[in-house]
Amino acid sequence: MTLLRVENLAVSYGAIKALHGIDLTIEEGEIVSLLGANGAGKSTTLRAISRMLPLQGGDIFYRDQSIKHIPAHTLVAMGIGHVPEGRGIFPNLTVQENLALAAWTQKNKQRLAASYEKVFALFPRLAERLPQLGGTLSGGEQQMLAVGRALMTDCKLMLLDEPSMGLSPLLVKEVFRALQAINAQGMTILLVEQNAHMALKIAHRGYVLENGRMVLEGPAAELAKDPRVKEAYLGT
Amino acid sequence: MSTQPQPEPTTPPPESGLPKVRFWMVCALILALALPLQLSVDAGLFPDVLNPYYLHLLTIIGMNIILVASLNLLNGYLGEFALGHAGFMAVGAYTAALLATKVLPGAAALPPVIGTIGILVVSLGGAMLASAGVGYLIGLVTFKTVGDYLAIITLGFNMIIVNAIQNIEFVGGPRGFTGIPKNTNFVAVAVCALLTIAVLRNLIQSSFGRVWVSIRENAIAAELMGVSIARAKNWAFTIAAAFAGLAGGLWAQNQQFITPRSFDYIKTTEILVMLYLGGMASLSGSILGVVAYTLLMELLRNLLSAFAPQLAEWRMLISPLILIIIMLTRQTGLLGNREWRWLRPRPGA
Repeated sequence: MTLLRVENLAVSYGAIKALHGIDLTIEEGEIVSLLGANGAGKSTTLRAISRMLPLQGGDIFYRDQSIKHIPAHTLVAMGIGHVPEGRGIFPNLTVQENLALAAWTQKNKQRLAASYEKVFALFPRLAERLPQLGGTLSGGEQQMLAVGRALMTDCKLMLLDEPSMGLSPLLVKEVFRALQAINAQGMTILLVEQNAHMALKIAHRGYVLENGRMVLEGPAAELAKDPRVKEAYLGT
Repeated sequence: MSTQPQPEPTTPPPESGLPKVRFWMVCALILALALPLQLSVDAGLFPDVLNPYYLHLLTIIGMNIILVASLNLLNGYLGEFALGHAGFMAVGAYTAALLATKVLPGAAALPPVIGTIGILVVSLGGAMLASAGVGYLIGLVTFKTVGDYLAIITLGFNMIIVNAIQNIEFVGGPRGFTGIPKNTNFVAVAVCALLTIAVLRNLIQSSFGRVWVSIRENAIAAELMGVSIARAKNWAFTIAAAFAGLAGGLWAQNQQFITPRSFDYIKTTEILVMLYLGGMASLSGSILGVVAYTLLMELLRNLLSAFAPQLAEWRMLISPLILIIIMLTRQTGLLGNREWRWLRPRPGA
């Protein structure tokens, strides 16, 4: 079943067009990578999907329902979680409070407890750091917290913006393993990444953006072999 | 927000032999002392120690605590810069004055104490409702504005309120509202101040408070967590305005005379100075800031008028100076965003 369908999406910042009408579909249970150079429009695409940016044209369908006119905060209850670029954790709140805040929309106590358990099973490190202030965590732990926070919202589709940013190669591997584990439990993931090599390794399908236009799409394994992708993003 | 290294909230407090002070203990102590204090001052017992002037100072401190703690909700926890707090206070003060003089004088026929308490409760309730309504509207207007823009809108609102009252002849216009019965005393103010602190403390430790702090820390991330920023902000403005109205209602029935000028932006500035002196996002800071500032101003008044009576007004020059010095030397205020232990949440609560 198609979880998310983006049709002819156009976004601009003032007079500057960031997206010139792109199409994208995500099936339930998939990991889809969105690749591209700096300024290609990857983060813009995510922000448009989570309704943080106004659309200039096109439409977005979530479970076949247009979400064009739905405000950002209600999307969370509908099941779209967004882990923003630079993590966006609350530095002066404790890890516990960060997670509790994300459960804001979750009124069911049993499912809330289950969400906590899921997060701690995935990131045992967070359980150890519950009383610590978010800002004092290491970069990798902050990323785990950001992903954990999205999990707490009980989302069905997770939008991830550059989870590898500023992390050591070892930590990048750890975060990506966690993403695969989340996916194995049924989460659909749209992953924006600079690290094309890692992104294509865990993804099922991929899209390549260039200057606000989709230039390539296909199964991740094929994209990884494509000479144009190899040259532009993977190095040879 | 703060540049100071913060104590880890989890480190268990060092075990001391002293019994731990709890919030309800402080409340009980103040309430137990308030009534005998008021009664013995009224009766003129021990005129050297229990001077009515000292009690007046304590009353002022109580009202200022309500004002500063409620402004802290907006400027400290929500992280906005609201500049119209005296406007909400004016709405509360005039509403309470009107209720007490024009609507409820019939209640004076009731037995004295019950009649006064009745008028006080109804007029304060009305004051809170009226200013909460105005606060809700301000929250709506400031919907998507932050920072400088919000500051200017709230400042404009403060001026509108003051100028509007000045032109309403029915409430005395620029001459002020006279003949308000003195329904308030120190006991009433103490009860209201403790109630304010208790409500704010619980709110701040609830998910409401977490939502406000999250908006301050990172509004985008908060929205991505499903927080409706507009609604959370509106709640904060409504609640803060209600308590400012409560302080205004108490003020009117304590001073027995109010003029529009006493609620202009200079009053707002005074509240801000106390807030920043004590420290943002800390109820302990609000209390400490009010006590320190009020006592300092009174000391200066006495000190300066000891030299020459006309010098006393120069203390108004010193309060902005204090603000400048705080901003230059200790931006986090006296307490930063720390709380006294008795105001902190219980671990695990």
